[in-house]
Amino acid sequence: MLFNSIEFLFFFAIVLLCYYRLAHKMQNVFLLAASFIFYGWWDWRFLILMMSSIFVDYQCGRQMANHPERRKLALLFSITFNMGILGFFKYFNFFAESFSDLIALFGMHLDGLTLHVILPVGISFYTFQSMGYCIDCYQGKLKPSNSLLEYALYVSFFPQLVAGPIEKAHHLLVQVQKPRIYSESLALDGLWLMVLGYLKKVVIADRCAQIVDPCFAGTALPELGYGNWLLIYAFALQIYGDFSGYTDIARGIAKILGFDLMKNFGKPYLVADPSEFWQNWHISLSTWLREYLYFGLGGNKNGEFKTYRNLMLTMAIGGLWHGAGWAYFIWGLYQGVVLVVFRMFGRKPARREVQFRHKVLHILAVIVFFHITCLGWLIFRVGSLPKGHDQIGFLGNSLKPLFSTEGTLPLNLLRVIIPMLLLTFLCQSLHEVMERFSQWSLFKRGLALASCLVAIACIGVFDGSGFIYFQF
Amino acid sequence: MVADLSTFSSKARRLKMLQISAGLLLVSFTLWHWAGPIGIQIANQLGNLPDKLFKGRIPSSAEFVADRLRDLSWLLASAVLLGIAAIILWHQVRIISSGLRRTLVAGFLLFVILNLFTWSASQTASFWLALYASSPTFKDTSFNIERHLLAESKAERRFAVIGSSQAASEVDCAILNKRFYPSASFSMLHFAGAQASDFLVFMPYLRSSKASDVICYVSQQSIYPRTSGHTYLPLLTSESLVKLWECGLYQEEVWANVRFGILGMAIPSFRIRRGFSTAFFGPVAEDGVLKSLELSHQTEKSLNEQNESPEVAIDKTGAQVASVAADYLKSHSSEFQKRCLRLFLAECEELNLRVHFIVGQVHPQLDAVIPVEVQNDFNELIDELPSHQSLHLIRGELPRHQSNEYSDWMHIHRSSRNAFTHALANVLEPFIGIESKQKVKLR
Repeated sequence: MLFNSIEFLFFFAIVLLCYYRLAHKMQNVFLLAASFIFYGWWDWRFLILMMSSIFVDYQCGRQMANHPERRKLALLFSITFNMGILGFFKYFNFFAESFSDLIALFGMHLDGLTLHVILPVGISFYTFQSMGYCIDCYQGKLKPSNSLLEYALYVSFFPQLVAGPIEKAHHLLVQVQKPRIYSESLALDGLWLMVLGYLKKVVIADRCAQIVDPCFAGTALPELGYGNWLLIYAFALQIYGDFSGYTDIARGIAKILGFDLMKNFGKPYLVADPSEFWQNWHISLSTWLREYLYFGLGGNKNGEFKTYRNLMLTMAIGGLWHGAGWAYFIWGLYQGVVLVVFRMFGRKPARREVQFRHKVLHILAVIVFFHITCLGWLIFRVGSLPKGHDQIGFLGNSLKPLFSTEGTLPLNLLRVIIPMLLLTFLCQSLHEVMERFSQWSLFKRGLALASCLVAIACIGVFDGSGFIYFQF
Repeated sequence: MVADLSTFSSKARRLKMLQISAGLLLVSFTLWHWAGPIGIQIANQLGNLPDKLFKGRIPSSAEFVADRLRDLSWLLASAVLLGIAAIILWHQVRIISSGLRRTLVAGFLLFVILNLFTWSASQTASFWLALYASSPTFKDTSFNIERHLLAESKAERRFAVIGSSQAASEVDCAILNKRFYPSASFSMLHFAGAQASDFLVFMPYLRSSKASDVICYVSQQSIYPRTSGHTYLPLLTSESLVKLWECGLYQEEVWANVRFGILGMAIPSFRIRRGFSTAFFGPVAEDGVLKSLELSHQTEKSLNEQNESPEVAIDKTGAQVASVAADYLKSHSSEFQKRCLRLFLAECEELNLRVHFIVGQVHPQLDAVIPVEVQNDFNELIDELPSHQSLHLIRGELPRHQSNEYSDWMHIHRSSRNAFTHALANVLEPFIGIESKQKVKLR
C-alpha cells in the first residue's frame, strides 16, 4: 500500500476514525492489526517473515533479561537470524552470481546457482531496527520489553515500517508503552508534514523522475556532454524529494497518531563536507551505522589508519545495505573515500571565521560538495538499472562526457530543474521552521496548506509511482 | 483611550480597503464598458501584428483586443470580489476555538478562494493564450482558446470544427475565416486522439459557445481504437458524464481518466493541470524528455544507423502499419463509440445545431490492412445515420488523399490541407448563403 495511493488514504481515514476512540492497550492492538494489514497488502507471505523476526528478537531480549549469562548467545542468535534472512532474501542471488562470475574467470561454469527469491518490502529497515533493539539490550542501554504486543508494534509500526526512519527502541518503544495524549499542536504539525511530504513526492520527485527515468533506460546517458550534469541534478532532486517526502509523510502520520518519529533529513544539499552530509541525509541509518558498526569496529580510537579503515568498511556496508549490487558497493566505497579525503585534508572553519569572505567561500564549497554528492548519485542510480544492464559499462560511458568541454544545456530541461532546485532549496533552508508549523500565525498556516494543495493539484504528477527506498 | 484609537485605526483601515476595492471595481467596470472603442484604437496602433501573430486565425483584430480587455476587467473584478469574500469569511474563521479546526477551515477557505480565482481565470481566452504562449500544446490549451474565440465571435454563423488531430490536419480554419467572415466564423475545437465519444464531452462547450454549425470529421480512427478518455480530465462535465454513462462508459477501461475528470470538475486547479504543467515546465511535461529534447541513447542510435538498410526500412513500415491496424477492432469499445455518435447527433438535432458530417479516411496503406469486418461496420454506421434536415452528410464530395499526401499514418501535409479546406469551403458555401469572396476551384 503506497502512501500516495487512494487505498492508503481510505485506510488511514479508517484508522484515524477508530484510533482515538480506543483505550491505550486497545490502541496498540488496533495499530498492530492495521500495520499487519498495511504490510500484508503487498504480499501476505511477507508477514510470516516479519512476524518471525519480531518473535525471535523479542525472545532474544527476554532471554537476556531472564538469563544474563546467555546474553551473548542470545545476541549472536539474533544477529545470525536477522543477517540470515537479510542475506538469503536480499543478497543470496547477488553473491551467487558474483561467485559464478568469479569462477567463470577460471574457465569453470556453474549454472542454476541463483534462486527465484522475491525481496520483501522494507526488510532492510525492520531487520536493522530489530537488531538494534537486541544490541541495546545486550549493552544494557535498554531494559528488554516484556510485552510481545508492544515490541511487535515497535517493529511493525506502519508509518515507518517500509522505509524508516530506523527507530531506536529507547525512542519509539518507550512511546508505545506510554498512553498517548491527543495534542492539537502535534496533530497540526503532523498534518503539515503529510502535506509537505506529498508535495515533495508528487511535485519534486515524480516530476524529476519524468526526466531521469527515460534517460537512464539506455546504455549510457543521452548525448548532452556536460549537459548531462542536469540529468544528475534531476536525480539528486528526485531522490531527495522521494525519500524525504516519504519520511515527512511517515512522521506526519505518526504525529497524528500521537507518536514522534526521529527526524531523518536536514539540509543535505546545503552542506560543505561529507560528515555534515551524513548528519543531514538518512540520519537514522547513518546513526545506526555509526553506533552499531563504526563504534563496534573501534571508531576513531585506534589511530588514523584504523579510523580510515573503519570509515571505509562502514560506508561500504552501508552501500550494500541499500541494494545487492556492485554499484551500491562502489557507491559505499566512494562515500568512504570522500569521508577519508575530507578527514585527511578538510578543515572545518570555526564559527567566528564565517565572515562575509568566508561565506562566499562557504557557498563555493557547498556548490563543489553538491557536485561530489551528485557523482555519488550517478553511481547510486546506476545500481538500480534493470537486470541485464551493464552497470559498469553505463557508468564508464556516462562519466566521461561530464568532464568534457563540449555539450549543451537544453532550455527544456532547465525549465523543470530550476523550479525544482528552488523548491528543494526552500524546503532545506527552512527545514527547522517547517518543523514548528503549529507556532505559525493562522494566516501563514492557512496559506501554506492552501498553496501546497494547489501546487499538488496543479503541477503534481499522479502516475502512482512507488518510493525509491521501498526497494531497499 | 488606547482602545478607542485602535478601533479608530481599524475602522480607518477598513474604510481605506473599501475605497480601494470600490475603485478597482469601478476601473474594471469602465474597462469592460469601453473595451470596444479602446480595442479599436489599440488594434489601429498594432496594425496587422495580431493577424501575423495568429496566422489569420483572428478574423477581427479590434474585436480580439477588446475581448482581451474585457478578460482583464473580469479578472480584476474577480480578484477584488474574491478578496472581499475572503476577508469577510476570515473574520468568521478566527472565532473558531479549536486550533486544528481553525487551521483546517482557514486552509480550506484559501484553497477554495485560489481555486475560484483559477476557475474565473480559466473562463477567459487570455489565460489560455498566456499558457499557449509559454508552451504551445494542441490538447487542453488550444481547445480552450478556440472555444472562447468561438463564443466571442460576432459572425452571423459560428462553425465549430470538432474531431481529433486528424480533423486539425485536414481543415484550416484560417482559410475558411478569410473566405466567409463576417458571414461565418470557424473555430477548431479538436483534441488530440479524440473519438466519437469525446464529441459528447465537447457538447456543453458547443452550447456555451453558441455554435450554430458543427463540422465533424469522422474516420475509422474515431470509432475503432480502444477508448482513450484523454479529454475527461480537462473537459468532463456532470452532464457529459451522465450521457457517456448511458452509452456504456462503465464497460470501458478508463477509470483513471474518469476519476481524474470527476476530480477536475470539483477542483479547478486540478482541471487545468495538464495545460498549466506544460506551460510551466515546457514540452518535457507534455512529450517526455527524450522526445522534447529529440534525444536518443548513444549506443542505440549508432546501432540503428549501422543496421538501417532499405529492406529493414520497408519491413519496419509494414510492421508499423500492422501494429497501428491492430488497434482497429470491432469490440465493446467500438459499440460504445457508435452509441455516443448517435446520441451526439440526436442532441445536435434537438439543439438545432446543423452538423456537417465529413466521412473521413485514414492513410490508404492503413485502410488496406484494416479488417474487412471493421470496414463494413463503418460503412453500415454511415449508411444508417439518421437523415434529418440538420444533418449534412459530406461523403465523396471532398478529395480523397493518396499515400504521398501524408506526413505520418494520420496527418496530411499542409498543401493537401489547403486543397481539402478550399474544397470544403465550396461544399459549405450554399449553407452559409453568400457568394464567397474568392471562389476556389476544386482540384
